[in-house]
This record gives sequence, C-alpha cells and structure tokens, in this order.
Amino acid sequence: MAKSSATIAGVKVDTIRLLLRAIIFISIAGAAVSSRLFSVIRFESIIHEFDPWFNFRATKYLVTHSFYEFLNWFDDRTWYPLGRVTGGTLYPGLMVTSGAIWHALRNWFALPIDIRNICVMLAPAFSGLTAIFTYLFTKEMKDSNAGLLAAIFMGIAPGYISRSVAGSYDNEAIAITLLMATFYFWIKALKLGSILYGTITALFYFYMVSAWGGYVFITNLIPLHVFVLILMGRYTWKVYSAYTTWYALGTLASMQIPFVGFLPIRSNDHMAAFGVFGLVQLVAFGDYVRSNINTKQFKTFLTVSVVAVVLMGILGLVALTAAGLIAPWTGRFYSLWDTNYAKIHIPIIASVSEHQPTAWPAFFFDTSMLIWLFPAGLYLCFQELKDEHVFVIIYGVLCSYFAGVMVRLMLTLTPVICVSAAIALSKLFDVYLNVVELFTEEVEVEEKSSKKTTKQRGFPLFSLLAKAVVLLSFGFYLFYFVLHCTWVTSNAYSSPSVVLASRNPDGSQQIIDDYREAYYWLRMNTPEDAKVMAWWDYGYQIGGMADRTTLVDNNTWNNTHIATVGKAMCSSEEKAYEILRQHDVDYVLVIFGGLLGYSGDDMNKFLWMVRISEGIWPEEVSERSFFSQRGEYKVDGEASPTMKDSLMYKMSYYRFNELFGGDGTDRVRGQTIPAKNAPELSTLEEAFTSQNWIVRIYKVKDLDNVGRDLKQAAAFESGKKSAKKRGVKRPNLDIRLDY
Amino acid sequence: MQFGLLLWGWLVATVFAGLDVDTLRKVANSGGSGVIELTDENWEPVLEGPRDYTAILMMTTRSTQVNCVLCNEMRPYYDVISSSYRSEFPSGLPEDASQPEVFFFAADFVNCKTLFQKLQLSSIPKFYSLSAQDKASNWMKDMEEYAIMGEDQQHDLHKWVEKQSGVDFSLHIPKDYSQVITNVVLVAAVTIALYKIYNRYGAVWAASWIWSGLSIIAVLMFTTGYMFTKIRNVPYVREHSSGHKDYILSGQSQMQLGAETQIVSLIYGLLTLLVVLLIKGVPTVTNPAANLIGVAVVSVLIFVVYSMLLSVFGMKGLGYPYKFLQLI
Repeated sequence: MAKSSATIAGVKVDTIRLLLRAIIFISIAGAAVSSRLFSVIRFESIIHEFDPWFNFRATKYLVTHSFYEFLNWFDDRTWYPLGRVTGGTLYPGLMVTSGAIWHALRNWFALPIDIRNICVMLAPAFSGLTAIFTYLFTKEMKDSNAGLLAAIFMGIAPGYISRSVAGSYDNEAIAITLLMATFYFWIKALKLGSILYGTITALFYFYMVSAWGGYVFITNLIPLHVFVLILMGRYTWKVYSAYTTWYALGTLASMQIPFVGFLPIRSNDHMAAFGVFGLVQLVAFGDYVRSNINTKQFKTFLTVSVVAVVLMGILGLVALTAAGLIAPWTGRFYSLWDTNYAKIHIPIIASVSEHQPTAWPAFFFDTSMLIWLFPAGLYLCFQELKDEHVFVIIYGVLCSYFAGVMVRLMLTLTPVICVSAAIALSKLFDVYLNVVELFTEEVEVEEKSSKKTTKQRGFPLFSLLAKAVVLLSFGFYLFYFVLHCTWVTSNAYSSPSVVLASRNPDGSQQIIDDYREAYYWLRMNTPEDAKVMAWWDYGYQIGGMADRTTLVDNNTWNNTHIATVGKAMCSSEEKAYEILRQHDVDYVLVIFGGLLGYSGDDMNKFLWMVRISEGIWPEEVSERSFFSQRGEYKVDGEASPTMKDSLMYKMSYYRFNELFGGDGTDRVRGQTIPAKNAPELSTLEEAFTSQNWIVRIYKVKDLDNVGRDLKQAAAFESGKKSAKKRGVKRPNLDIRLDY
Repeated sequence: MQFGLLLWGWLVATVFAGLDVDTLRKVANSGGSGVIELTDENWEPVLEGPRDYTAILMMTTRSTQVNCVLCNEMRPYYDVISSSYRSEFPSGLPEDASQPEVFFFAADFVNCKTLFQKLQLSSIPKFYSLSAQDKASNWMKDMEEYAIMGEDQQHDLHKWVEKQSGVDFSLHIPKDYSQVITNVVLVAAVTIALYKIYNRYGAVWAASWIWSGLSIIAVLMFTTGYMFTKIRNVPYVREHSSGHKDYILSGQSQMQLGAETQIVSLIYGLLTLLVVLLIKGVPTVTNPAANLIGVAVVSVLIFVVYSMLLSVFGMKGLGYPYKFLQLI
C-alpha cells in the first residue's frame, strides 16, 4: 500500500499497525485460553475423562524415566497378567511435548512446575498457537484482516474447544495446532516452490504423525490438492519441488515413529500420497519432453505413455496384492465411504458414540454463525481461485462430508469453517468498513464539479448510513457469536466427568467426588501390587489415579481378556471366584449409580459385558437369561435368577436395602429392589463404598483356612456373629504417605 | 402377491376349517417372500390351535403413523430369511426330516389389532417362535422370543430361526441387479454426455460456476445432516395419529428428520446468498439512495432469516437461551 510512509503523531503507521496487531494477538490468545478454563475454575486443575488419564500416566513415566526407556516401556501394570508394549503402541508426540516443556521450565527457567499442571494447561496453551497458525494460513488466502478474524474465530469456536479445554489432555489438543501449521507451511511451500518450506512442512508433518492418528487426513489432503492442481493444468515446477520435498522427507520421518513403522508404504491410507508422488514424476517428465519435441510427436508420446502407465499400474497393484505385500481393500477402506459396511462388519465402530453420524444441530452448536458464512467464503474462494484457494475448497467439501459421517471429525472441519467464514466476513468489512475512501472520493467529485454546479452533496449521508447498517448488524451478530461460544463452552464442554456437579434443591452447587475418593482409598489402603478388576472403562483412571494394576483398560486391544472380565462379572459367585483366583485379583471395583441416579453406571453397561463374553463363550453365557420372563431388563423382584446370581448384580445391590430399611429404590432404572432375598456375598467382602455409593470396592477373600468352601465358611461365620452388629464400613487405618 | 391375497380371502371364508401344512405351503409359495400376513380374522387358528409346523412370527407395522424405524429395518431381513427357506424347501422338508416344517408369519399392527392387544406389547418389532403342538395350549407362555441385539441382525435372526426350528438352511441374499444396472447405465450416460459436452463446449468442464455450485450445494447438504438421514434412514416427516405432521423434531438435539435437512439447508443457503449479495451485488449499485435501500433490505432479510435459524435451533431443546425474534 502507498500509505506505508504516512505517520500519525510522528509515529509510522506501520509501527502502529504492528503494535495493534500484537495487542490483538495477545487478546486473542487470552480469550482462547480463558474460555477453556471453566472447568479449572469450577472444579480444580484436574485431568478429564478417560484417555487423558493414560496420557498423563505415560507423561509421568516419561519425565521420571529417560526418553529411550519410555519408547521401550513395557507396562506390566495393565492387562494383568499380559502387560502391554506401551512404548510401541502409542503416539508419543503429546507426552514428549509436555515432557520437553517440563524440562525446559525446570532447567532453563528454574521453574519446577508439577507435571500435572503442565498437562492440564497444555491444550489451552496450544489453542493460542493454533490461533496464530490460523492467522498465518488465512493471511496466505486473503490478507491479514481475514487472518485476524480467522484467529479469533479459531480461538473461541466451540467445535475446537470441545477437545481442548483445560484438563482435556488428549492427542487432539496439540494435533489441531500441528494440522494448521502443516497446512500453512504447505501453502507457503507451494506458493514459493521453496524446498526450505517443503522441509518445514515435512517437519511439522512428522510432529503431527507423532501426535495423532488423524495425520492420515493430511497424508491424503495434500496429494489430493496436488492432483486437482494437475488436473486443472496448473502444474509448475513449484508444485513439483514442494510436493516431492514434503513427501520424501515427511514419509521417511513418519516411519521413525515406532507405532507407524512401515505403514506409509504398505497401508492403503497412504497409497494416494504415493500414487501422486509417482504422478508428479511422470508429469514433470512429460513437461520436459514437451519442451523438447514438437506438438504432434508429443501427442503420440502422451497417448502411448498414458496407456502404458495405466496398464503397468493395474498389473503392479494386482501383483502386489496377490503377493500379499499390500492390502488395499481392507474394511477400513470401505467404512468411510459405505457407512452401512461399518455398521455390519465392524461392530466396535458402530458401538462407539464418537463414530455416529452428525445431526445438523451439532454443526450449528459447534460453530454458530460461521456455519452459514462458510459457503459464502467458499464462493469467494471460487471467485479468485488461486492455487491456495483450491486447497481451502477441497478441504472444506471433503471435511464436510467426513464430519457429517462421523461426529468426532467436527474437530477437523472447524478450522476450515473458521478460515472460510473469516474470508467472507473480512471481504464484507473491506467493502463496508472503508469510510475514508468515501470522503476522499467525494472530495474528488467536488473538485471536478465545483466549477460547473453550485450545489453538490456535502456529506455522504446515504453511503454512510448504508455502511452503518451493515457494520452495526454484523457487529451485533459477532457479539452474539461470542455469547454463543461462551454459553456452549460453559454448558457442554467443561465437565471433567471425573468430578460430577449437581444442584441442591436450593440451587446451590454440589460437587460429587466419589471417583477420586475411591481411587484415593485404593491408593492409600491397598498393597502396591494389588490387582484391581473393573470394567475396561475405568482401567486408565485406576492406573492413573489409584496407581494399581488393572486387568483391562480403555486401550481394548485384547477382546478375550475383556470378555474374561465380563464373564467374571456376569457369572455366579462361585464361578466368578475361580476366574478371580486365576487372575490373582485382590479387589473388584464396580460403579453403581442407583442411589444417586447416575445413569452411566455398570448395571447399565452390564449387557455389553454379557454380550462380549457371550461372543467368546456362547455355551456358558447367554444374554437371554439375563432378561425377565417378559423379556425386559429388570433388576427388581422380577429379575431373572441368572441376573440375581450374577456377581455384578450382587456387588451393585449388596446391602442396598439397609439404607432404606426395607425395599430400596434404584433411581437410575426406576425399579424397586425388594428387601426379601437381598444379595448375599460369600467370596467377596465389602471393602469400601464411596459417599454417594457411586464406587463400590470389594476385596476378594482368600481361601478358607480349614478348607471349607467360602459359602459354608460365610454361613458359619454369620451364624456365630448374628448377635453382633456389623462392623464399621470403612476400615480405620493409619494414614500412609507415598511418593 | 395378488394370488396370495385371493387365497387368503378363500381361506378366511372357509374359517380355517383345516389349516394344514399343504394349504399354508400353497399360500407361502404363492409369491413374494413367503411371509404370511396375519390379520384379525386369521391369527387365532395359527397361533392357538394344534399345528404340525413351527410358526415364526414377526410383530411389526409398516404404518407411517407409528413410524417404527427398527421394524422397517428388520423386515427385509425377515423377508430374506423366509424366502431363503422357501427356495430351499419349496415343497416341504424331505421325507426323512425329523423336524416339522417352518412357516413365517407377520402381523401388522394396523390389520391385526386384536393380537397386539392380546400380547400387550409395549414395543415392536418382536419375533416369536411357536413350536408344533398336538392340542391348543397356553401359547403365549410357550412361545420363545428373539432378543434384538448385536449388530448383524440378518445373521443373528437367521441363526435364531435355525435354532428354534431345528432346520438348517442357508441364506440367499438376493442381489439387487436392478440397482447395479441403473448405476451402470447412469454412469455410462453421464460419461457419454460429458464427453459430448466436452467436445462441443470444452469450457463448460472448466467453468468455475459449475464447480462452485456443486461444492456449495454439497457443503450445504453435508452440514445440515444429510448423511445422518442417509445412514439412520430417518423418515421425512413424523405423522401423528391425528394427521398432524411434524417437520422438526423438537426437543431432540441428537435426532432429526429428513425435512429438517431441507429446512436448514434452505436457511443456510439463503443466508449465504444474502451475504454474497451484500459483498458482490449491492456495491455495484452506485446511486447512494438505491444503494442504501438495497443494503437495508438485504440486512433486514439477513436478520429475519437468522432469527428463523435461531428459533429452529431453539426448538431442538438444548435450553438454548438466545434468539432475536420470536418467529415460530
């Protein structure tokens, strides 16, 4: 612009602009971070949900051991007695990042910060970085005004906040930052044809691969971009150098991650990138040939070579598939395109709620007004249609489809919505915010016309009004956008789910902290090598909070082992005792929400346990037998005998009636638990029950001293003790400190 | 099917004097999938009386008023199982078979209300199996129910029928050749058309307005739950028994109807169009007064349509507190 030399009050405009931009950036980062802190303020600095607990535990292992020990980590405290090769089966990027930050703060800044706080705050901190990369990316698309808008959208859009609130210490927390960084450097490399930027793209791609399985999205999007550019006849040497640099270095680098290994040259997910790499070579060669021979010869050359290449490609594909070297037509390939395929053939995909299709309210919920500015932005991209705009369009259309098929891919759609909406809105502001031009134009008109006519428009009232209408209304919408984002974040995405909140009748908040109470009890009152059996949902939490060995956890890599736990839970006490003894189980933990009305408890997940174990032992476990006569899922008097005999039922309702002094009421299932025939336990004894009864822990009894079976022993004991009152519920033990 | 209905008319007329296997076989083989429809008039002899065959019964409905999604999903599976059985044993089981023959029945809620009342069902679809018996008995107690669980219902239901009847038969899933042929013809036609167009007007292929139109329509569809309606097979509207129709499922943020995709994509499309108009169209009007009017009209329209969107979203029942105008 020509105004760069202008000054205001002796200061260069550019300097002021830079200063303003810096202030805006700091404000954006501040807004992005602070809107992610709801849960820290309401509850405390705590790791959320399930998977983050594993990441947290792995990070603790990393900072207490060396990096190489971490990569070779064989975890014997999970999947007892199998263990898990953890180091080779995780994406280490997240843990390494927070480990590096921890070391840097401690060694260079002499700030020894608890690793937990770094883990909790990592996602909000990276959201600030995401805003900066979104700014840079959008700046390549239009200009810095659009960039600033995109940055603030990205900072507070709920679609991204959903996975990056404080405490949500998951791979996605840093992956979206890396996604935007990779895309930014890719556009930069493509525009300049620069090997340096291509290398930086590859580096960020490597970081992304190390952090999240979703890197496959980049692996396919960039080749697709190049492919479309070639189809549009936009091949240049810049495309060649950017793509080949990225592909060669990025692929080699990604293969250094143990979990990825040789996937990039074998799995079908990576074949598109490989194919386009080959295509680029051919196109480059064709380009060279064309510059050296005449048009007619080139046409013949083109036809012959295209036929030859297609034939060779098909033959090669068939040969490699036949030789078993590649498996391009696996189930995963179909599941994204034919959604019914996944529903029938991959039940684990169908059963997880994150893999469900997205209904329209979710889109508006997560992006508010941006969702309808998004197509307008795409339209404007089409109007200009430079190479980088093609990228946004492909990204937008493709990702809309994926987000429609799978809820969790909303996360990857959000950045492009923000970018595209920012392009549309900044274009709008370009047109209507420029009040200065209005006056200067008017002056020119005056100069010309002043000689001829005596009367002219002095003040551009209409134009100003028109601009004011647009600016005010859109300012108002933006204000509402902020309200929307805050409301959504505060209501939907800020619950740690480890700590629950409920309202008392008088409206005051009550914190339900049963999980941590119970896990802390386990940590303090059980031997350090105690084995705790619980359903897999709680495996990571027990490992992370109670630091005890678990049989199964959220990694779910071994279905048989999960089924074993399910079988123990759904068989009768005597049968279960055998399984428990075989697996050295010391404690059994169940989640019970019947007293409080907490619906995510084990009795509601019980049928999955039955189903999974029925899948392995169909002759021993039958789902039908857990239903009442009328085929209903009952836990009251009508419950089937198998249900009443099952270990899960007994552990859930053991002594439940004593609370009511008669028939009890299960508040989740709305059924009455009869006091008659209350569950009796002989092989387990109640060890701990949390305040609201959400977590109940049972100790597995040792074999009887005099060789009776435990049922007889229990009957004998209770006969002897019948006059006495039952003992204290919580063992009175001395405080034990660990660490 | 027509013939089957005629036969049923005849059967009803003879009041099921002797509902023997031969008659049933005739009806079952008379076309279609071999599933015999039960009605108010004819269910009693089938279910109550003595019978020398195994009866598999599906309680279902095709009525749009009840709008039973699972029924519509399960019915094709049931039909395939029935037709597989019939094609394997068109004239009954072999002589030396120890098991009685199997017949597949279906009771639709609309035609068979008395049976539904008798069974006091609270949910459908349900599958029962009634084994052969010598005399009328308390059939409601004796029948076995199939539990609809798991993911591969086609397979599970087939296994259950085999287990209940003791007859093994393989599943013949008919290939839908018509669809394959339609697809092939369609692809061929489009390819030829494109080739012709490309030859004559090569520019059309590269015209950005076609691509931008397609992309924007695709985005509008995908972001308004089109894939959701495809995958979940949701109905277009929900009909109440009073004839009243719901176009928007209020209070259910995780669910939507087919019509909602259209309503919301229309709203998004309008808003997009208005914004583009504001950016590209209105500034070309140079007369300040006309320009102001244009801007004002478009801005008011945006406000109204956006209010509409907020109202529709508010109906989805998330306790959403913001709206501009009370429109719905």
